Amino acid sequence: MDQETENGARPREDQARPGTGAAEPKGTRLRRPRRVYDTGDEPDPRFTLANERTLLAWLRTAIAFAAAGVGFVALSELADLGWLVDLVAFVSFVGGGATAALGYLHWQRVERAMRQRRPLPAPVAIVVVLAAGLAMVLLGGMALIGIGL
Amino acid sequence: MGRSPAEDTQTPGLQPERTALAWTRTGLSATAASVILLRVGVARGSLVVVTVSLAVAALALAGFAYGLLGHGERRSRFDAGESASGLSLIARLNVAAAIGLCVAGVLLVAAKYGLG
Repeated sequence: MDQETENGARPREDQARPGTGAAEPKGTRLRRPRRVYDTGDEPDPRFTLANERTLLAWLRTAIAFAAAGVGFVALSELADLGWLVDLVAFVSFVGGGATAALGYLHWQRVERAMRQRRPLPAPVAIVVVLAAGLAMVLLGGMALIGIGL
Repeated sequence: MGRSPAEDTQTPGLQPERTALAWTRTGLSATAASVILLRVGVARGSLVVVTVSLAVAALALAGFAYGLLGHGERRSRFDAGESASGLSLIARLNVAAAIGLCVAGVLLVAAKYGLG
């Protein structure tokens, strides 16, 4: 495969950079986060794009949790619902925040593993998603029965 | 690399395009979530929540734009057999934005019980 890579210091071609996010100095290509790119060599570009999309999918999951939480907060404003609805919203926000953070760590570990040609790590964030989702279903069920209202 | 020039110009699996679309989806949903949060923050008169939701909306729209405008560069890099030049600043800021959205939500719930 690709063996010409020295760590992050390839001269980069001067082409027009459309879009944003170009926080790199010209001439040297400083790739961030550094702790990902200080190891291994370039994987197939298809895989790095797929890893980026996977990070975005985790972010969307986190955003969906946040949106659900905002929905519950708004719901508790329509009528004077009890503390259980607020608890559901809280669980949703905490689950969302943890999903985003763990999703990012997962991206880092996957990228490092791909650069070192190691097997990919398991996503820890899935446990958070399942736990938060399950908690929300249980609490929602309790709310339906009338506890905490 | 073991890929032939023919493969290089075919963008196998339309990877850059799917990445651009994933960005637009993420940016739009984060924008929607932050706008709803903004509405609740205004209703509650919470300056922190209003500020956070406006910041998240700005970052989310930046992510949306990055998905579309960055497509050309992603595509040309990909066709040259090169990986991305690191995770972009916009991407890392969008991780922070998703976390910020959730922190603002926690603050909303906490404020109702006189905490924070």
